[in-house]
Amino acid sequence: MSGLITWARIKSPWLFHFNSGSCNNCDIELLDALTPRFDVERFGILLEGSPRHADVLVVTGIVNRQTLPRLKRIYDQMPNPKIVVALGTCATSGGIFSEGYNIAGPVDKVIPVDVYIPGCPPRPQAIIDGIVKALAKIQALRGGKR
Amino acid sequence: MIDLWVVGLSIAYIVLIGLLIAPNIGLFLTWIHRKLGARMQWRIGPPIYQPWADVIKLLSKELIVPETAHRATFLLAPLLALATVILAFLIMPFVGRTPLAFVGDVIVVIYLMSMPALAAMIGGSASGNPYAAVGVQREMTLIFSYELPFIMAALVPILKARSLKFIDIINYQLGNGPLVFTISGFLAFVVMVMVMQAKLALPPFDIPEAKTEIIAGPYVEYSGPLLALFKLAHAVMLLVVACFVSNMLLGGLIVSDWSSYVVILTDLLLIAVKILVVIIIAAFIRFYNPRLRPDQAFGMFWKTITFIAALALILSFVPIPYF
Ligand code: SF4
Repeated sequence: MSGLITWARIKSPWLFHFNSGSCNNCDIELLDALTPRFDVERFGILLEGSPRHADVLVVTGIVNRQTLPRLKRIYDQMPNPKIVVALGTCATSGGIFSEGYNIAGPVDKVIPVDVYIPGCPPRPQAIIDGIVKALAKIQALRGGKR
Repeated sequence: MIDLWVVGLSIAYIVLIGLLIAPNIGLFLTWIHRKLGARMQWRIGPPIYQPWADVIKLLSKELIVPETAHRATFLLAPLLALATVILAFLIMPFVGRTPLAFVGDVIVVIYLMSMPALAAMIGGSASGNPYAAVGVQREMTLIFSYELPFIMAALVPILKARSLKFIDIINYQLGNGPLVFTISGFLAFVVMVMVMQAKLALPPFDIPEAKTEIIAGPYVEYSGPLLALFKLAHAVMLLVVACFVSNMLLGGLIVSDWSSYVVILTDLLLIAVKILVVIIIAAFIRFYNPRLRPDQAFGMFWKTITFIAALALILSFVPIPYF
């Protein structure tokens, strides 16, 4: 039974995309990765509009003071089990904005991150690779908590 | 003693056909939709097990009831949606027989087919989310605009066969040929296809759940198992609508002669073809059209489609063959 659930979770990751203050390039690349050219629906990946429907939270950009409470709330709104993917150098480490006066991030300071995809911005291939790594993590945990 | 037998058989029928076969065929049809959409965009598309993986995953997830929601209503609305569509499927003849046939079953099925939209409205308004409220309001306006032409189109076969029973309508078409090959029947078919699109909330009429505008409309707050129930209800609804259109206008889903294997096989093939034709038409409309603005959609239903439905209704009274 747990094997079946793990299989279903790997085969059907639905994304929710949250921009926590990125320069918008990472967002464009994420949408690029979702176009028919890369056809991520082959892997069951869908972009969902509501955090309640999603399994994977994709965060782009450094977290600033204004988006901090919203990011936390969206994370709490997602049903368990959930994974968080930090997309772009900003989200993983702060990048060029790390010295900023209004910075509350990077993402892993605020919410637990499972997979980091560096790059400024990352290529769509790298994004898909990152999501696949996240799925491998589900496989390793085999339906464990989180 | 006999009563017990009947009760047992009915339960077996409901469990087997309603809970096992109907959802699985429905999920398969949603896969056909997604695959066709993918092929139309020159991509490979999801593998055949995709809808099952989605549903199993959703069933295994956490169930969140928002603080603002009315708990019981929020929890029961998806069950209502699934139960009503399955009941609609059970009442309709699928291979030409159903133990649940009775006089007026067409009316009951027409009512049951509008229940999923009502359930979404009930659940959406119970969730207390402003996006859901907007979605509910849009859904309501859409229902008001498509129910009238839908019932007018459904009246065409009813009047031709002079009966409110599916079996009689199918038998009439067995004798006189499928109604879609008559002028009034064809117009009714066009109307039904458009209404079907709106009933399933598919583009260009996915106004109530427009993802890019109001997130997911009434379903915003639904997560995990409850969302899975709504997805299943939607899948079965796809099947129910296809069966309804085939039964009313495409000659019916019937095996005309149970004694000869050749007839059984060809008729089963025909049943599959009829359902697939309806599904594929819906997929083409869905993937080649962007979403209409609400006022455009409502105007279209009230003006053009109601007019076509009225025309079909009037033509069905003309006592000339092929009218
Ligand atoms: S990582 Fe680069 S592209 Fe992405 S948000 Fe930061 S600065 Fe922009």
